[in-house]
Amino acid sequence: MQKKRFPFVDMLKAIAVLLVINSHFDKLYPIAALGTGGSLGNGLFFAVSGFCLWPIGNDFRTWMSARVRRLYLPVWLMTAAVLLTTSRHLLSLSNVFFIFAWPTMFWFVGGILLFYFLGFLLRNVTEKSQFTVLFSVLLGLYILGYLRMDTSVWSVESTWSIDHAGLHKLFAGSFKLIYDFAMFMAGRYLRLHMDTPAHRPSYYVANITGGYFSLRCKVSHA
Amino acid sequence: MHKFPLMHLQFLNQISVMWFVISMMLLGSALEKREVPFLQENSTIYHVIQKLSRLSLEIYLVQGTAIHLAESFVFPLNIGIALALIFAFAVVLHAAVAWVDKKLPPVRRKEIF
Repeated sequence: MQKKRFPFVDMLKAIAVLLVINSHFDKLYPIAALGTGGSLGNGLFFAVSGFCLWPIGNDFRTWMSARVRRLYLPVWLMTAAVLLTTSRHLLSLSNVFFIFAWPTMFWFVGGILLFYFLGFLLRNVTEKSQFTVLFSVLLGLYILGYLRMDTSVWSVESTWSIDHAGLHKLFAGSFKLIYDFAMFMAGRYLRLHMDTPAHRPSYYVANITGGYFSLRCKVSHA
Repeated sequence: MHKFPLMHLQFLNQISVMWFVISMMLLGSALEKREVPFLQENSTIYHVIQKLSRLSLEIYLVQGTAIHLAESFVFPLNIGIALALIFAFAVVLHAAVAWVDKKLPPVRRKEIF
């Protein structure tokens, strides 16, 4: 089946990329707080991924092998370049699996690979009622995880980290994935059920208010 | 340092992100249906958007290294250098991946995201 192309998806991916780049510029800006927007970019990226990964066939091996190849070829090349040049000290027997297999030196790779797998398992979740159940389960897991978090410090955006000794922040990084997976499935939900009736000013208002409050939260805690 | 006053309600940040993302998806779809000029295949702006979109994974992977290399320069030169390095590294990585991919057995193209 020929995959349908959506030009607006390219636009959203481009915006997501620019937001994430900007969020890492905090070390370059004279005012570090200007380097923000990463959570907006990541959320957009996961939602777009869920939107695009449809339809899904029933052949797991073919489907997953194409995804893994597209994802891991650049990851391994980049990982090899980084390890050979600046981070040789990171490599040890205790973390070679984490660095090259899962979750890799790039936390979102570990997340998106997990979402590909879960997305395939949940490929028959297509009806609104099924999505309601799924989002309710995710909300329940989110609440349980949030109650376990140390919320006296900024922790909802914590990700896994790898050093010489191995993988760290497993709980905090895994908690974030509950939310990111909800974004991923929200993207699929919109693919299946979005019916945009008309171009409305309310979309702009929602964008601006959502973006403003997200950035305001980050700036305040910086 | 000014502390986030409602730190225990930090989930509000993620709710606002979700609000932003869903509204962006709706806005994007509405703009496409309206056939706005910058989303047309023959538009220069769309070509730039498409290039950014196709390099998104490579950009994510190389930006840490590029930014690290640009840190020693003063603002705003460091921003320009970082951006140039990010896109240069991303293009090189993309080309390297394409080269390696050609050496591997083909996958069924219709399955590729």
